[in-house]
Amino acid sequence: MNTVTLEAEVRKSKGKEDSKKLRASGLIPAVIYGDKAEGLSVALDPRALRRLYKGPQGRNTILNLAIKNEDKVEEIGVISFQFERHPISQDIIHVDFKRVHGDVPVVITVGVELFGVAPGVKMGGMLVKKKERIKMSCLPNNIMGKVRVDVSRLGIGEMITVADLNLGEEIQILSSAKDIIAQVAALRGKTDDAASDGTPAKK
Amino acid sequence: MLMPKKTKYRKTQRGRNRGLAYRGNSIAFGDFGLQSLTAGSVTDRQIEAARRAMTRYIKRGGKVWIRIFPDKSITKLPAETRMGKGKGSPEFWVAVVKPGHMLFELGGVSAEVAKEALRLASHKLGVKTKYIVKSEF
Repeated sequence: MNTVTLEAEVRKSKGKEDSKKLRASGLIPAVIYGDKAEGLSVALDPRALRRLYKGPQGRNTILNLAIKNEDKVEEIGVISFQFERHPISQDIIHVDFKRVHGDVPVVITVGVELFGVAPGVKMGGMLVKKKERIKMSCLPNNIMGKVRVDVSRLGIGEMITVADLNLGEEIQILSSAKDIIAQVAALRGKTDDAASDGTPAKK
Repeated sequence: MLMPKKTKYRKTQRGRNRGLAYRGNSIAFGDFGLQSLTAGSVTDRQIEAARRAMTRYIKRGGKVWIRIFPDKSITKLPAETRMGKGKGSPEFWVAVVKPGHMLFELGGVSAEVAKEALRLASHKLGVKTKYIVKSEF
């Protein structure tokens, strides 16, 4: 497991007012769940977290949190499972982490990346990505950064579904097999175009 | 023009528009978006004008998603009418928008085309907006 260590400290004060004060001081509140233990409230630096999540594995990056509690420092392996962001600035304002162990599968959602040129697009169709993220369960060692999907065999009206994916035996896909990932849609006819442009239809 | 098919009540009270949009604030369908920065109302005519500006600019390529819906009726008293004698009749529809709301999304076009199309659309709206590109995480 490729892990990075981030520093955090145990948060004694909780609630809306204290969280606001914490954010004003440059840190963000976070909670660590898992292992059937009670949630552990911590505070950490959002800039370091943002830098880390811009890496190849994105928000599925496994990190070691070195949690300072008075004089003791405890290291916990975690993965994020929920973010709260500011609606406009998109800054991370709260994170929920889950504890990770090497031999226990984790449930993650991984982004989809399309590659290749679909023949249907050359014929005038439009490639539409219908699914942005795929839910899967795998061991922490097998976490992938992105699911790369080849669209180079798609003609007009054809599609790739979750059932068409082959990610190996180590990864169990939890998204519905019927879900469409990408589709080459036929463009609308001329009459429809004119109407959508605002030209009044002739009677 | 966009409007509800049927409503329980024809006329609504004005209400207040405070706070930020904690829902509908991210890009959900396309690759580029137009996000509101101020609170206000976007009328059905403004939405239609913005949509036309975008579809004209992107021509046949790409897809436009409208993420807001004008579901609030606005009434007006007729011209040269004395005050009182009840509330006016519904004249048009508006979408109530808070800062952060994703108004439109675009997909299937290049970043330059999307930016220009959304800039043209932003001039049709009564709220300040920001061009957004879908982030990786």
